[in-house]
Amino acid sequence: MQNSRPDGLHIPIALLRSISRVKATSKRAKVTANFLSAALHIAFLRSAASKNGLHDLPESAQALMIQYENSSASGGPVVEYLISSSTSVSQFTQEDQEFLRTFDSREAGLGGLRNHLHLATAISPLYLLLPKDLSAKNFHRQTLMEVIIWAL
Amino acid sequence: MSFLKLPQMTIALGNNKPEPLLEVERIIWKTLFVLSEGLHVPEDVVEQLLVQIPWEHLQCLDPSQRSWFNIRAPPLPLIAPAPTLDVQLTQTTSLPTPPSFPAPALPDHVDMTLDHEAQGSAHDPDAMDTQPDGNELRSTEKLTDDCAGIDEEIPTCDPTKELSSQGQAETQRRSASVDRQPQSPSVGEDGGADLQSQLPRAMAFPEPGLQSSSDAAEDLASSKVPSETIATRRSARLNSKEKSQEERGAERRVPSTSGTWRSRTGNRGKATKPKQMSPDNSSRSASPIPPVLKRKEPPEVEDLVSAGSSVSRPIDVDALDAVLERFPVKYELQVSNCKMPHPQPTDFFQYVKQEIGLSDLQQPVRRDLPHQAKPP
Repeated sequence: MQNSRPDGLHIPIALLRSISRVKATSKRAKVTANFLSAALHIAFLRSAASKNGLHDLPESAQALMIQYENSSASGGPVVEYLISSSTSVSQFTQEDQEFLRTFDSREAGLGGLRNHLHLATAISPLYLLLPKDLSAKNFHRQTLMEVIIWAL
Repeated sequence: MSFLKLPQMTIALGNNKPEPLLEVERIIWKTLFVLSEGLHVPEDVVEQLLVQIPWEHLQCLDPSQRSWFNIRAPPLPLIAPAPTLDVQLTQTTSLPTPPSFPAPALPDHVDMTLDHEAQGSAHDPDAMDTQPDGNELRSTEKLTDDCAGIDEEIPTCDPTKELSSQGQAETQRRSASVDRQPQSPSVGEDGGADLQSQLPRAMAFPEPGLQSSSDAAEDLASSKVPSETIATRRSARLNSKEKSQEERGAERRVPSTSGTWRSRTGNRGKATKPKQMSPDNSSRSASPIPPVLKRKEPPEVEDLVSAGSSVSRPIDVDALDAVLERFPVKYELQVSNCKMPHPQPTDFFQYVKQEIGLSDLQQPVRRDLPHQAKPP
């Protein structure tokens, strides 16, 4: 059964899994990954996890995994989503862990997934249509503000 | 930020987006919130988004609406018609600025401070020896005269001139130069009423103005292009400056070289001579006698020629370096770190359409999606 109410980190984790599945090699897949990343950020901010400790996407994947395991252990509703029907929601698979570790190797870390929503809200959501991996870039907030102020 | 006035700030914040762009943004936001609910297959949602975007309608937009992506370029509807700008200027400020945007006054402001510094060094006799020749000083004097004329026309230059000696003014000048770079090709060194009258016409036609600002957008997009483009702009700027100096001092070329020769001979003989000779140079340069003086002394002409050929070139390079040091051009480093991927801001949707490959969107190939390959 599907549950439209985001009570935990299940939706963000499901979206994260779908990002890992997209394998953004083609340009259309990169656009899809951009949209998924922005949606992941929105889902995280709407989730209860953002109200209980984590106020934003953490910098490291380890913090997200710990938070997710805690929320699952606390007896939150296990929701089966269409996009994560083939995998278990209750624990991270090896594939998920490998995917999350790829963010730790980047300079921006898992916080690079915030870029999409920041750019969409600060400049324009048209940014998400660009076939670029925006999470790999490290946007300094001062740079972003300068771009907003005098570049547009 | 301090250079942005209120109308510019609203433009910079993107408040004047064309309606078709706002419609596209609404579609994107709806898609994002649908995705964030986690109820649908992401590939299907994104594919529906790409179908929902009215690509044909976007391609039929007029150039003024399409130029919204032209970053650092003010929207054309605010620039081209003079009456609307007058209304805006009367609403915000009561400055008697011409019907162009206030930003074009900035290059004159920087040149003016530069010329004041050069003029200040012209009064220093020790600095006179480091100056290339009297022609440079006279040209700066002429430029300051031009700038004084501009001051009378545009009083907004005065406060920035006062700040030119402070450290904050340096940062302001730097940020101003960043704003100024796309507009510098359209604004020459001579300034004045001729250029002020040409500016609205130049802004009304999108080709020259938008060309420069699209170059600036490419500056933002790539980290390699800015240094080259700025170098070419800078050299073009200096070339125009030198051309104007040559046109003004075409009749005084010989006196200027004789002035350098006199200063050189003064350096060889006594150290106090050039200090006395330098004011004489400026006074004699106005008289047409020096060509005759040059012909009168044949043995020293060789010395003059050799001294002029060997001395003027390195001194000119130093003077160019000194001028270039006062033109802060390295600010793209802050912005280039973000590597804004705007290849052609005016053709944003065309670029996206080509990059994503929307030609096959009419018949969506669902077997390409990895999720569809899996059984439910």
